Amino acid sequence: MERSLLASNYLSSRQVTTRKRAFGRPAALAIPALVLLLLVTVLPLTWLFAISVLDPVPGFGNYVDLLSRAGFQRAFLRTLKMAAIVTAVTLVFGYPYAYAMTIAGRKTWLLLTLLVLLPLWTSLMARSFAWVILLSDNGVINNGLDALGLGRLPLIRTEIGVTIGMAQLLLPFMVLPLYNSMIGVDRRLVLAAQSLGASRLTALRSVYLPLTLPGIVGGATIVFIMSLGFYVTPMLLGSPREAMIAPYIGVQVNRLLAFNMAGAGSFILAFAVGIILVFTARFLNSGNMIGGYSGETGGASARRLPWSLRLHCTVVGFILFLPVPVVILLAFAGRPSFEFPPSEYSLRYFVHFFTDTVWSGSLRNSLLIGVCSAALATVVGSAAAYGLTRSGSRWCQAIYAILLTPIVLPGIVGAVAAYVFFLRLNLSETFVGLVLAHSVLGLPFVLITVSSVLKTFDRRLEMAAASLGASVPETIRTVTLPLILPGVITGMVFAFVTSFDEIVYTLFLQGPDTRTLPVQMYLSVTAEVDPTIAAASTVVVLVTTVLFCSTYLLRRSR
Amino acid sequence: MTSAHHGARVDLSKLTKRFLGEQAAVHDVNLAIGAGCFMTFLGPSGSGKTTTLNMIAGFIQPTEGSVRIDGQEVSGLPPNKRQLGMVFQQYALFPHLTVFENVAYPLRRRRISEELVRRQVGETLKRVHLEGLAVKYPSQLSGGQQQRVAVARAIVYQPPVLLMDEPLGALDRKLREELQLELSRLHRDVGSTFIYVTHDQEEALALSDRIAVFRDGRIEQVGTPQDLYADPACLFVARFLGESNIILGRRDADAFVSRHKQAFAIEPAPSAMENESALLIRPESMRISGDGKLAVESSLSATVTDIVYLGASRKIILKASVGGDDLIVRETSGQYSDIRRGGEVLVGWNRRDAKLIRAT
Repeated sequence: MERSLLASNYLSSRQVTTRKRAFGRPAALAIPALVLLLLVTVLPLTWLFAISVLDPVPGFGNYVDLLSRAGFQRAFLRTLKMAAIVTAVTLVFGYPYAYAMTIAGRKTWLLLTLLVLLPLWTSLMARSFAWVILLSDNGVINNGLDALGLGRLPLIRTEIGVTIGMAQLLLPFMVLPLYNSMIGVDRRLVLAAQSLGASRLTALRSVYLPLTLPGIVGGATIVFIMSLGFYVTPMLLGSPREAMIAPYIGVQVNRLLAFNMAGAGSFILAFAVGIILVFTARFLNSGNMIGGYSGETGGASARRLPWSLRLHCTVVGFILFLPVPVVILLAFAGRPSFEFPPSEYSLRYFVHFFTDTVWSGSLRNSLLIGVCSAALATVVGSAAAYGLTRSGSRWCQAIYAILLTPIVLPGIVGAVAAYVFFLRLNLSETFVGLVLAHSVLGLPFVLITVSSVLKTFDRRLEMAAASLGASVPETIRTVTLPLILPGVITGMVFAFVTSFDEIVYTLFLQGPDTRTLPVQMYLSVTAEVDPTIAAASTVVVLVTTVLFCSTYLLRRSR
Repeated sequence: MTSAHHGARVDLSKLTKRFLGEQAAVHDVNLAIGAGCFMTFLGPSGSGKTTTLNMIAGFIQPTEGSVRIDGQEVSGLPPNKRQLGMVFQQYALFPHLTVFENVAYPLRRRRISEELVRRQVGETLKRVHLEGLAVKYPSQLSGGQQQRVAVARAIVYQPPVLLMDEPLGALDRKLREELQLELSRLHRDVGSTFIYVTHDQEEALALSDRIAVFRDGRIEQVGTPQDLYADPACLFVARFLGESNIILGRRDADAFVSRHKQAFAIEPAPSAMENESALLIRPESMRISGDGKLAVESSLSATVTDIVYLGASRKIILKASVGGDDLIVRETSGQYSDIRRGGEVLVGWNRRDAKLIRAT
């Protein structure tokens, strides 16, 4: 993902259950995680900020300079506008969809949930590539419009293209908070309002809408913030002449090597995010976000959806699902073209993917970096989760929130900072640098999943073990660890997939020897017409799907 | 598990626990628990009984005071070094382990040979009638079976002291009574010192050698069930154990004068009890007469407000004509068949059945 998953968990999981522990200082277990965060996020941000205010002369000259540039102003305003549009689009599409989820029967609910979560586990690059194919001037959509005699529309390299690409990626982050606030609303209240004389529409507007407001504000905030930092999607689907702020910052680093300007731009962006969070934090704190999303709650009523909702959900579901078959069909293309549907079919691009040294090398790099960073994130994150849940100190909640910052930090800001800092440490373009960066991005997922199992973990089991003669290490080995293992494994899978799909940090930190699969796909999309990327996308989607399904089955079996 | 082993003495002295920013949860508890004794901590929730138990177990460090087991101070020791057994509320069985593995857990922590583990677990499971369930997981068992596993796990290594925190609290009444009998039998067989926490007075009376009644973090009274029932030190204990008729008032020479200025005869009491100001009469010691004739030393007139049929006995609830206090009479053999609801009666008791107690 361009932005990591489950951003909204940041919000709910702040309240860590805490109780005094008879032995030791468990909070110390969070130290490795903090060191990792310090190295990959805190110090780089500090360094980048220092550059932005010290180079070439001390002061806020760079900020003034940047803000007065017409190009930056346009990019900034366009970014705000795009973020607002994307937020509005996801809200308009997401609200009825989330409502349908709350009243659907068991099977429909499952289908709707799977569809809305689809963008979270079908690779960002695969989806972006699919939209490039779908939206291009000779793409499926335009061919269809042309066939209907409606003529062709400029879609790719326009704001429409960017909006479509971003909105479908961000829809889950709107729908899940909405859904969570909706299932918390007692539906009898609407009936009560109707019995008191309100029409159905008035009842919904005067009762249901205000009660779901926390979900609306929560979802809108997340989507807006994430939109501000989008980097890859606008670069692939948007016009170079209509740059948004993240690509603008990227250009400062990559082409102009103006780290001071990139720093200023990054902190202006981060500042904007911070201001939004200040105003909406209380909605985000309300705790009804993805953290409370059990995935087992839906389908209580078996009512048939009204036709309007069915139509709406079908359209939304179709748009969400569309990229998958497009990518898979293209992967079996027989000729070096992106024509869709392909006129010939073959396996040659799969063969090419696995035999070509560039492609297979990037797959190997991705797997290796994924495994290493997931392992690091899991060990460090589980220890931190254990320490923080088990310590009673108020500081722990603050540390917990700090460890989740990689989620709310716009990817471009973190990536630029890490790049500039790692360059200094000679860590850029290295395997170690990428593993460190990816593990910090995976850390929040491990922290969230492990903390959530620890919170429901019955502490008396540990007391029982102690009373039966088990020492603290023995208790952890024989009781705690086996029981929290599902959470640890889920966290590890999330961390792996995060790394496997990561593109923004990687674009900045990779080198010729450490090129990962998403980067190779990115370069391929921008440079050549080669269906191998479709084969690569298919493999990536397959890998993540298998991983998530097996994790789900593992949890079910316990 | 061949022979009964010996329990250990447990001595609590000046045991105090203050949680941050709260008043003492346990205050200056002094208690000697004899080896092999079945001691019950009885009290309402929040009275400090579980906190005291947790200090003995080592889960909570006392703010002041000491816990000694067989004379040895254990305050600095972690729970796993105290050689105690504990049965938890809702059992705390390990959900990822089978019944066998749960019961074997403490033995394995003690690095006992696998053969011995198998034998001891087998014997213990037989003892709690769970032979056939060794391969089941806790979630596959009924509440009563889970409770038995919890007990088996706590006694399999023959700890000299067994702590139990409301072990029967989650079960229905019938099962609870059944398991009470089993626990009694087990206590006799095993010979460990049992320390049992409950808020159920019937359970306490049925099981215990001795009962310590807790109130607001202190021990109000310690004694055998008979002592506590027959001779409660104060109103709190009297009300907590069994049903009682309480008449508030004050002692005046050899008589007791109620708040409503009625005088009742009392046994000669030590003069140190001058401040006592309540008269306690157990319902089974009360007598009623519908025809105004009652051969007892104290009596007063009352109206029957309710008659509750309890199977083996009936409970007759009355309202005193003067003052309106509620009174309870327990009829055990159908002797008051002529009493009707709404009837005017004379209710009374013998002097030796009226107990003068502290009203605080």
